Amino acid sequence: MVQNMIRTAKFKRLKKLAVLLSACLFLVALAGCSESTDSETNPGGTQSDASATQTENAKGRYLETEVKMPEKISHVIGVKRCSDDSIVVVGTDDNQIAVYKAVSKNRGKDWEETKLEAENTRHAAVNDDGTVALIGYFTTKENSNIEIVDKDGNVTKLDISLPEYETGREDAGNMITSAVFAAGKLLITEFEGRIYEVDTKSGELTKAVTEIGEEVHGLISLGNRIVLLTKNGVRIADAEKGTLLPEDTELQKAVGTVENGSDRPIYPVMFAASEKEDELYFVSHGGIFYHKQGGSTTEQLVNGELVSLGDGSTAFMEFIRFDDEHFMVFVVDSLGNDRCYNYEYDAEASAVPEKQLNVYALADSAVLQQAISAFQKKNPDVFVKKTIGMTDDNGVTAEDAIKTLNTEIMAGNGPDVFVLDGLPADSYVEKGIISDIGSIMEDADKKDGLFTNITEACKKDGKVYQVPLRFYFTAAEWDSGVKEISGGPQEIADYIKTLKEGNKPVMPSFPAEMSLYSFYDAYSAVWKDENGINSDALKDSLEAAKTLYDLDGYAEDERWSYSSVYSDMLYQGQIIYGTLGQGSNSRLTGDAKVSIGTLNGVSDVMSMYGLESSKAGSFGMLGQGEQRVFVPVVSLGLADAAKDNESAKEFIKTALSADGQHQMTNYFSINKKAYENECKNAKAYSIGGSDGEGRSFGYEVKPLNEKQQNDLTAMIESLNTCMWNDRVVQDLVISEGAKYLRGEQSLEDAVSAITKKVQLYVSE
Amino acid sequence: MNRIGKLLSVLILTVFGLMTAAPLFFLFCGGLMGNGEINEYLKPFIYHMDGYAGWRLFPLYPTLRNFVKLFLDSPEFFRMFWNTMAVTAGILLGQFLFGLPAAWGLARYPVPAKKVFYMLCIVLMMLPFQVTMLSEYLVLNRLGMLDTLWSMILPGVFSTFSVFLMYRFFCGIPEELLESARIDGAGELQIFFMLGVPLGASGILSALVLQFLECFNMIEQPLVFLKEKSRWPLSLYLPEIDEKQMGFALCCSFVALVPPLLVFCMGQQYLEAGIMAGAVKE
Amino acid sequence: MSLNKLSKLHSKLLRSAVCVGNIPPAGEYYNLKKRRGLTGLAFCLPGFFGIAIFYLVPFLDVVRRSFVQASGGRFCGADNYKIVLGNAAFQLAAKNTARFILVCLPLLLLLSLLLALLVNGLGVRLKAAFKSAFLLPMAIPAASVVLLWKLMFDTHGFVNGIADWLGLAPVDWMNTDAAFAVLVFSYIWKNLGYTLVLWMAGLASVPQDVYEAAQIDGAGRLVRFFKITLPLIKPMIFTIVVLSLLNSFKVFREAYLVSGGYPQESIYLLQHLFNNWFLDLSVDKMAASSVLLALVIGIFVAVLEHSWEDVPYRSSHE
Repeated sequence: MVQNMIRTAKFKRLKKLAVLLSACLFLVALAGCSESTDSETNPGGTQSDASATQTENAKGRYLETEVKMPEKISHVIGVKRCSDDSIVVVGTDDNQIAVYKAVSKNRGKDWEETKLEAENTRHAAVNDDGTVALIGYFTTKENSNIEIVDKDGNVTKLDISLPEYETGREDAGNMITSAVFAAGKLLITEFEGRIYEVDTKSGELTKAVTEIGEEVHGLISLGNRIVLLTKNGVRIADAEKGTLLPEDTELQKAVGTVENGSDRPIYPVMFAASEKEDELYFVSHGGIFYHKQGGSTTEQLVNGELVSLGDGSTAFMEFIRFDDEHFMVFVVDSLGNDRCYNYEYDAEASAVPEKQLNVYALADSAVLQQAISAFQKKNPDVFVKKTIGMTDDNGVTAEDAIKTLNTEIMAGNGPDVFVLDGLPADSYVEKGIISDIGSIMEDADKKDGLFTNITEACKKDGKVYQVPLRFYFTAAEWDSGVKEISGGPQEIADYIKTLKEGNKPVMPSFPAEMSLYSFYDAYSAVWKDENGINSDALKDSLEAAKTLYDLDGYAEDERWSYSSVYSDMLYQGQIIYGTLGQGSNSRLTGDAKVSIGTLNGVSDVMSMYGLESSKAGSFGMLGQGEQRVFVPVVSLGLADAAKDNESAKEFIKTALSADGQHQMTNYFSINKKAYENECKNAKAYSIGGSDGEGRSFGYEVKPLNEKQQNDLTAMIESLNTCMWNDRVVQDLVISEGAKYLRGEQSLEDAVSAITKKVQLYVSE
Repeated sequence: MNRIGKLLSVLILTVFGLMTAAPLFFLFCGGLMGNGEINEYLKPFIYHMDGYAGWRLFPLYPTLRNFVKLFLDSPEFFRMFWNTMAVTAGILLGQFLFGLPAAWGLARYPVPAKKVFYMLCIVLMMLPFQVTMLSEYLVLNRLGMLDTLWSMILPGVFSTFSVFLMYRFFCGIPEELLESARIDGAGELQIFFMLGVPLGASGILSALVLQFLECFNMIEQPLVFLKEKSRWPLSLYLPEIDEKQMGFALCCSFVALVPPLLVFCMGQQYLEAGIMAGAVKE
Repeated sequence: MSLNKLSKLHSKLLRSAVCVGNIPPAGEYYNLKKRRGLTGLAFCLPGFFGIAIFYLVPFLDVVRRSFVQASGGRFCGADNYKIVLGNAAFQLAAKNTARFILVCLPLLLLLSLLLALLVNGLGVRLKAAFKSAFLLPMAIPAASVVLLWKLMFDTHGFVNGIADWLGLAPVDWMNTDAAFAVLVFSYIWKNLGYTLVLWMAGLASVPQDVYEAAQIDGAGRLVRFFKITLPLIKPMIFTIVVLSLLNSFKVFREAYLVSGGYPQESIYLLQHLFNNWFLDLSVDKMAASSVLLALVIGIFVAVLEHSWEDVPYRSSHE
């Protein structure tokens, strides 16, 4: 998710790399989900205004096509539409060493690529005439330069000296946080939030846009205007005169505060200029919008829900508008892959899709949104209406949401496709709410090949009622060689005990719930018993979890505080508790010897191998006896009421196909072809950082080699059991177990409370 | 003896009174505290740390930040407040139009099978909401009222609880009064408006006040009957606020409590006089 | 909706009722009663119509569902009832609910009566102040009550803090049998003022001269209370019991919001079960058991009514 960690003054405030990494993950996740809802709610009003004026069978809609990216560039660092309507893309190769400039005169159909003789690879600002300014990673006193490459390829190195970053620390360096060309001027911002104009000949700095009293953390070029991003929102300034334009409350309301969760200048909102000075366009996860400055409305041109823009896990790099109302959006997904979409108006397409497909999920997730985008792209005549039971802003509990859903199902208003995560799937099967989708799955298996060990484990009475699109599993990593730990929780606890030396921590600090989630994922299937829960097995796991918890060597208030907000996010799949990589980074800094957590996809495995190339170690899957347990993610079910609805079946088919999953990045794919593509298309990058004590480290993450991929495939194919997929049981185990781990109740009390309640649950 | 007895009774009552009134005080003080201060006191509770949650009688660093945030920066609070007011007004008006005559008729006339009606009213009033929720949803669905405020208002209008309350009250009016009015040539409608309503005023008002409180506490109905969040009542705003912003939560609770409290204070004498009804017998 | 038409019909009926009233009934008593009955019906009709739509019809639907299978919708006779009565969870929930009501009702009635008597002996101002204080919990929104409950009865909460200060051992209130006590406490806390005011209204209705006469006869406080006050406020007791019973079902909301669908065993009430059944779409079981609940309530209230209640209309005409 976070591609490059830069050693910067800002990061030094943070104590541990692990904290930093998780904080970034958190931020990205938060930004991802909050922005998506913001843009849904805010421009929502204008959306209904717009659609109100359209009659039911009105024609005309923007349709999306994907644009091929330049071949040599795998990592875009700058994009611009030049004055001659050509598009310039600047980017680096796989290793982020060589810089290329690609120019397209036909809106992305063909690219003409040239290598630039430059060294800076972090960010590129492109001028209207094709001049490129390349910004490097370090712009401190000792190492400060911007490379200017003119349209003929001549490179000029500029020495610029930013004022010291005022933290009072000796080694605190300053750096350029964003750079744009606007009105022919090169404008930059730095850590202190000031804006400077850089003389492209001499490298001299002059203060630009002086009267703004807030820190500006980013700039977006808007023709002769610039958009200033501050922590309070957005302001627009005249780039030529350096004056602020009046505040635009309507625009502010529509876009909110725009923040960046990455080291690249990518944002959840991006702006594009119009030929008129008082108009602008912007793109967000809600869609593409037109706005007249100072005007009272914002008009929606493209509905984000109907196209790929709705995927809240992505961020925007550049938004281009051509004068014939044709749009191009450069998007970066959660793994850092670049994509480009074209939006062209089709006067023949119906304004609003005629058919509607209702998809219900208890919690939103990037995977679901990606599945919807993929389906939407293939079926522009069907509108997928996504209903989310628990959103960030409605505060509804899972039980309330299910109650409402059940009522709607009973009244015949239920959805066509269920995302069964967290829903009482077994009851739905029993009561005939969802129907068999065995044939759909067989087709999918024939087409691309599925991991049938997973689909087999999801069967009930020989029938397939639900199938997960993605899945993950629990693993451990430590210095000595492990490949698979099948002795169960006690064996792990016993082994970790032997690693303890004095007061040094063995494991990274974690809240009580976190290890319980990991253990629930890994062992809950073993606890399952025909008339409730096997209290001996449960006891084993809880005891082992307690051992680990006490061994980690942290006091209660040193742990990350674990809030209800956090646990909600677990449900939404936005963040994964204790990923193996997070914990293992602590191993790298010497703060831990072992980490236990989830492996959430190919990229996680890649970073594990990368990490181990820097510090020896190995990782393996947790299991007990013969059982290798996986956790399903986004399990789809077909509503019995929608049996004859071809769109519903088509949706599941698409979601299972390699095409449908090509945008998905989290967790492992159930589709073999998609999995192989992910391995093949993965990109190398490097991770580095330093902790509070000044220890710095880094490692290279590379795509899996053949052996590694085979090992991973074998690991995945050994999975044979689905987690005890029951919201009630999981909640009970986590909440009662956490009290035991924190020492608030005895093991016997915890086990008996869980056992009694689960028995009660089963007997209902 | 009498003096000591009185003192003792005041003492006992004070203990109980403090117990029932303390929460109001707690909400108000908490609303005036900053998050930092509250978190300091409640740390053991929030972070599961050793020790116990504590409290101060008055905030150490009183701040109006929570109130400012609520009043200036929480438009949804007001939207939900007005939703609640709309629902409440609808229900109260409706009860006046439908529930009131029904209770009167049931109490003062030999309506056929009145005993059955009466018992049915009591049983329906007691059944927990989740029992009839699904069936009620189906009815509202059929009437096309789902996702409108009507789905809150109409079931409230026909609440059997207020019929029961007002019924009990009307029973307390002496029959002789009505008879003498009839002998004076008053029509039944006249009797209802000129005698029944004024004599029953305190009972009616107490039923309405109780209904008002009920409206400020609806949680299950709006969750199931209203999909559109913009129509949600205030009672659903509060559960959204989690333990992490305790000061704000307490402030919201306090503010949400004000309208019922006002109605309560204004209606209290009626509430008391009439909260029960059947007792006022000659 | 034909509400409009209905109200027209209604006013027509009422107008005729007015006529009936204007002509003094010369005929037999039977005729009078019939006419009066019709007049009453005219008053009742619109209200009853609404009640029928929003409460009776849904309830009848529940009764229907109790004889039908949840999946497939086949009629299955009394099967659901048999399943429910044999269900361990139902037995536990029914037992707990009954126990809760049997403990709470007498406790609340006695405590509030006692306090009402104490308040009655005070001056006007103190009386008003105490009544307001006791009534406050009614006005506090459920969500705030829940927050308070969590804060008080958490292992690290206020109550344990006070216990610790007093040198007592902390109690895990919500996860031991103490949870039952917490539930009883919260019920009493919330309804004390309400019931107290009910009692006071009843006490106020006892004519002062009866007391004085008894006092002259030399009757003591206790004798006066048991021989005069109690019998005179008997119908009031009926109302108080019915309302307290009603409120005892409402305590579920707080219990559920504090400790979820699977609380400590002793406070697992029928409504928890209903709730959980609905989450599992076991509508058939839920319907059958709620019909049983309605029956029990009906019988209880009928018995109560028979022994304590007298309808005024009957008393003046029979």
